[in-house]
Amino acid sequence: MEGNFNKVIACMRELGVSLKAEHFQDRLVLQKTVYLLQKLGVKMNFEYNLYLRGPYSPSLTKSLYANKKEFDKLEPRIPLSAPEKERIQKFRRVIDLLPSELEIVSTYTFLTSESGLDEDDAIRRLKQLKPFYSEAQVAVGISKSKQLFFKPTVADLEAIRRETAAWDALSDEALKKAG
Amino acid sequence: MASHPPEPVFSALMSEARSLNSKLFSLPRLELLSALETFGEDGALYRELKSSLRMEDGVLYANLEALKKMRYLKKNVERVEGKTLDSYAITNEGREALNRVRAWLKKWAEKTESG
Repeated sequence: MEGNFNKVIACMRELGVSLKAEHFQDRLVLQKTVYLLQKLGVKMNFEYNLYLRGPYSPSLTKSLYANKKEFDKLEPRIPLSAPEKERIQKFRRVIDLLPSELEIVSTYTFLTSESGLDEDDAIRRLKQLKPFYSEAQVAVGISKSKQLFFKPTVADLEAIRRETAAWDALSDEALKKAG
Repeated sequence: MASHPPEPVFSALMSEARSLNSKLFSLPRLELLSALETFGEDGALYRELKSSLRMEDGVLYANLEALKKMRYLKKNVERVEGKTLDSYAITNEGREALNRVRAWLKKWAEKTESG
């Protein structure tokens, strides 16, 4: 199925960003943003694979170069549904649209959700692919990926409840003593 | 079992090989061109090539320069988050040269496998 580049443009408009096709940084932001929005459920039908630049869609690049003028002007304007707008806003609340952050978030997300790696292996592979980012940047990126995509299972919630039970008990006691 | 193909077939294969650019026949150069082929005009940053292909700076730089000299790559300077970084993109000549090598290698594999 061919990618929907008009929807890509609509998403950029909804995000309130103005990217230029001639700027490498803007093309990087576009690639990773489209990947993450698709993972959030905004269908644009661009296929991604993990290449040396992290998740990347050659067909998105082709569409971009074929529609440079429209992209730069953010035209045509096609409507987005309310659920799509909600997902885009969720993305915007979490992600700062910095190239480094987008690279780490998208690569970690791909490694855990599509390459099937567990957290430790995904972090190891991420650091191999992106050794030029600091530990702090990697930690923030991973945290943001989890904010966007982590869905706790019943077992996760039970484990969290058990972990926090002792602290809750202490806190209740302290409140009682304080009267 | 792989074996040497009959003489006329082998001669034709070798004669074709002479039209190829032998300077492209190195593992790092083939790796670089085929990695960059995916990104077309977009290209890839030097640091991305280095970390993904796990090449040392010396090997990477020397081969990129050689491919640039052959006009199979072009080098650009990009600004990313305030940093100035080198990027490389495959040219049309680079793509064509890679396709010729690929086609010849495929033929060579078929002919030497069947004997």
